[in-house]
Amino acid sequence: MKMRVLTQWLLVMALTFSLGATADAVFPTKPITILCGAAAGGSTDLTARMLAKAMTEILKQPVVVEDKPGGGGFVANSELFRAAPDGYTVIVNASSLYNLASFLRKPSFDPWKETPIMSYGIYPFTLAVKSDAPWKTVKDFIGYIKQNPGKVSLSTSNPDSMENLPIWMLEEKEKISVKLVPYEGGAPAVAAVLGGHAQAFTGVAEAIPHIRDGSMRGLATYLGERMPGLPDLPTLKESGYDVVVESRLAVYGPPGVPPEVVKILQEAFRKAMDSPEFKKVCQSFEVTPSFMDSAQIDRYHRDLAAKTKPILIKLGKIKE
Amino acid sequence: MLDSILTGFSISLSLNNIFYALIGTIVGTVVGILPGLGPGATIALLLPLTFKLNVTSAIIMLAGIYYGVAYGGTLTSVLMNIPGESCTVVTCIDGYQMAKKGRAGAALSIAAIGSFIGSTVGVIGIMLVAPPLASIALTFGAAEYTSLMIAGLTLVTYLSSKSPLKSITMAAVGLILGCVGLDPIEGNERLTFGSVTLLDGINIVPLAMGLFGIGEVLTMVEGSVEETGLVQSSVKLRNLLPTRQEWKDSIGPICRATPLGFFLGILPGGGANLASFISYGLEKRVSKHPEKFGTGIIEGVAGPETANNSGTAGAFIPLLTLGLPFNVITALLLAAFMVHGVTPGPMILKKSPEVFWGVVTSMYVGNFMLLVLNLPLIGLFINILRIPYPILSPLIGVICFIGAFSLSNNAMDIVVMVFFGLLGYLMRKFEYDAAPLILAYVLGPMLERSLRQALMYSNGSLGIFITRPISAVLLSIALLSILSPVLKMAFQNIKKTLSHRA
Repeated sequence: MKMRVLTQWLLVMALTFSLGATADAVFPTKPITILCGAAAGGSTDLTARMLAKAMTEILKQPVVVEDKPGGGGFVANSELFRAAPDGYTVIVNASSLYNLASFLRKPSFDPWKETPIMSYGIYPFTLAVKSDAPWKTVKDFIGYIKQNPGKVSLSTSNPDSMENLPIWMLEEKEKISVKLVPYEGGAPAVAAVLGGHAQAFTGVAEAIPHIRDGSMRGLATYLGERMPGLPDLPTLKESGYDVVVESRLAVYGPPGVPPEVVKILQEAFRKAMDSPEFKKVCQSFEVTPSFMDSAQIDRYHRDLAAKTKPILIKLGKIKE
Repeated sequence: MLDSILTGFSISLSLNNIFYALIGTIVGTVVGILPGLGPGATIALLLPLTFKLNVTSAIIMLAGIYYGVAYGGTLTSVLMNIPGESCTVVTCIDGYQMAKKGRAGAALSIAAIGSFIGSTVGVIGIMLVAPPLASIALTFGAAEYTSLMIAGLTLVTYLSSKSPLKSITMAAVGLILGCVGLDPIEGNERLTFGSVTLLDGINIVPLAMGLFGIGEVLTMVEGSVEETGLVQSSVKLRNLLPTRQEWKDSIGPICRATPLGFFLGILPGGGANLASFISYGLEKRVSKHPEKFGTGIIEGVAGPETANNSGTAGAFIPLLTLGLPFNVITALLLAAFMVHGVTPGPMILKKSPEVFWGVVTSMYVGNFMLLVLNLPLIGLFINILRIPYPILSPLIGVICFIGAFSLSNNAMDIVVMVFFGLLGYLMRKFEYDAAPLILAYVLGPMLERSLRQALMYSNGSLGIFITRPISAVLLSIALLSILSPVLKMAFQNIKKTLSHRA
């Protein structure tokens, strides 16, 4: 009898303590992994690494970046879906996953089921021509395209990347048509413009050093605001075209991460953005640091996807 | 000019920078030896660690990793038939056969010396002709590239040491394998069978590790257990140095491969990989005894091993003078430059000459270190060949599995490798060569991309390939390459009839 009471008492005590432990334990109690679906050493990987370093101090737990490149981020995202939704595994994705890739590639997972956590930056986007080209502004260039239909070529880094989207939008709005010639990455695409093969380059950071040293001329950026690294380069909107496309670096978790954990992660990422090393890496890759919380990034991606879908249908890339 | 070079050496020969060059080259050699762990991943991991260094030291170290890799990759290619890096895949073909004949020491020595010559001449090229060559490389557009690839593919048909039909069959398989993944212009999925991994195409490292490494293991398993090692113990492994004949046979390939690799390295989309393959094809084409390629002859090692190093040196030209990285590794080096606030490009010689000359001259220092490091190591590593089959074959298997996985932490790469291992085994049994398959697999996607780009630029007109002079010249070379055996035969017939009449 006595024994039974003791056992019951112990059981109750054990239960109380374990419950107390769950309620009181502050996230995180173990290391956090940030998956990265882009190649190591690029802007996505390095910005994430700098944030991870700062977050290790903020959260008092190791935060590590694990590269899982492949399939335009699909390999890493498949991995994310296999992880527990406890906030210990998150991922850095580019906007194109929720926008172009989810329409064009039919992923085996539903990216919209992922838990949005935050966004910390915007990739640089530019439209640039060779410096000896006659066009000084986007208006000049579009005027030339109108006079020479089907003759103007633009080099791009990829057949279906985000920097092609503003060109497709311009084609539709201005009733023009250009040849978008995809290369294997941004560098050969810039080389095609420098070598006089294509008239303009639409892409990410690769043209910026050339705009600075004068071998290329920037016509516009597709972002909503001017880039800090190139304050003289106007936006498309300022140039008189109502087109804004931003590709964001966004952090997501597996489906169903508890809101209180999302909050802790979101704040830790926000604080980590103050790290000087993060700012330095952003500066060298021309990434604009820009914070969005969980709800904002979710809304941003849903809006962008809604805008993109009709364009892809019109281009015949997807069916209704 | 001389002034700048001397200033450069005063920077690269400072104790500090010699130390960083040494670290870089040692890490590079190790990374080269370990299959799967590539220079890209290594540089990416080490990049944040260099933030505290000054820019010249950081680049000297990271660049050392890049050019050190081609030295290290040779070791596993020759000794275990596992390509340590993609630029040493082609070395497996003749290098491993040489090892089987007890000539591994010679193969590795010639490879190290060829690498040294290729790199050093390449670095001289960077110093003397970088800016003008870079602008020539820019005129190389889609049409020129297409014609270059066609000329390269004509070499494939000559890669047959067996029947031409088998060789062409293998080339066709290689072309099909090159199509796997997203098509380069429209982005449609091809032959991916719903696999996420195959969206990026088949990676050359698991492909080659399967065809060569795993294929070899499966063949080894057939052998009897009593066999001692790859090389009978009676063969003197100490005989490391190449024979006089081997030296003589290597001079030609090294002299041809140096400029070839250098130029292919400069081109957009080129690099050390392409250089090694084209060099192998070229050596076989110009050889007086092409049938001996694949049986373990020194020309098959000397050419590609030189070309991959001069190609590596060449790839620095667009990076340093145009700020354009045409492959993954130079892209990482660009990132390293930019993180340190230096932008490579036309202005680098004016804005930060000490960085430019410091890095370029450090490549002499680094390559000399690699030569000094590698030659004595050959004697040590060569003992791998004494390991008995029953121990060596599972070891090769394990290294291949780890290598395939560590490529991008993806287990699917192991599946791909095992698939090609079985294929490689069957190819051995039915006497099909891997060389045409791999060459076609490397050239095919580049040909497709540039062909379709060129036709986009020309609005579908094929004239673009003839009206552009460089392209026309390359196409003529391709045509000559195809027709030459026929012409040769015709010429001999005429000669015969003439001598009959006389």
